[in-house]
Amino acid sequence: MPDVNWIALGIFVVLFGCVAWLGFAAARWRKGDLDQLHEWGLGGRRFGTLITWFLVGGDVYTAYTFIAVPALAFGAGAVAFFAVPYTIIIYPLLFLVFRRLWHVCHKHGYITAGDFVRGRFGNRWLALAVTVTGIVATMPYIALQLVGIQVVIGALGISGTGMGADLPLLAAFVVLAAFTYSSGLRAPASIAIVKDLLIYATALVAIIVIPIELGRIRRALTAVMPHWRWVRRWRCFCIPIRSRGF
Amino acid sequence: MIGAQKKRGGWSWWYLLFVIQFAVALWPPFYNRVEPTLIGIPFFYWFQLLWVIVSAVFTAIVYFATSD
Repeated sequence: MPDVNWIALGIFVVLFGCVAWLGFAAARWRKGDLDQLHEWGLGGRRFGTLITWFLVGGDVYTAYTFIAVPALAFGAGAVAFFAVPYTIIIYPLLFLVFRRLWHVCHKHGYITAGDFVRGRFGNRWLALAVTVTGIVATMPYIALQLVGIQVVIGALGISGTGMGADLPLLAAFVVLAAFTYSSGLRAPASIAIVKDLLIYATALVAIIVIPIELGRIRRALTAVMPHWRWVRRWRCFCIPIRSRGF
Repeated sequence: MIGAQKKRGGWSWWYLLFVIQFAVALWPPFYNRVEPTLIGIPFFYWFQLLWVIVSAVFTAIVYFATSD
């Protein structure tokens, strides 16, 4: 593997090891009987506002937010900004729906969407249909995340053929599934704190370093080639993230 | 939280703040322009980013105004 970026791979392996350890250790965090579904699936309903905030942030903002949307802005320009009005619209809608949903579920002790539908409409087949729809609808999303992990592993320079190509992805997914199975919601909640901190670091670095680097690239390019037209595209790319003018 | 039962499904005029932000976000001709730029950023971009913050403030206002 001649293309391996060893520094990036080292950081990746260390972070992955820490996160995997944290995922398994999370089982003992705010300890409860994990054989009970609400302990496993809802962290015993004891997370509170701050940890729930981290958990939701860690779940909502994914590689899609940080790689796919900026990549679209780079490749296609302003059209990628659909994500911004979407954010403006979706949060109030979720606020209106989920606050009521939370109250009802908290009062009646519902854990899943199926529990809610069964309790609200009293029809177990409808509850089953909603549950199955939920599981099926999650599949493409998991597939998307797997593709994302694959891209990350590929970017580290690890490549292979046949079964070997899927081996790192398989290993990553097995570890992820294992600690989710053993720790329940406590695993993603604790990992979300690490993830959010990494995201803040990334955003901060992006705001500071990228404009400096792009300014340097632009100066170099304009010195060599005054009418270099790609500079305009660099501008498009960095407008959403830069904090100062060139 | 206890008062929520009494107000179940209740309407609050504060929800109209959401209509304002929906109208702004869903009407691109309103902000599809370059000028006035802000530190070099076209209006199209900074206006939308500004409304992310404004909508968060609106949501907070509605939250505190409707939960008692």
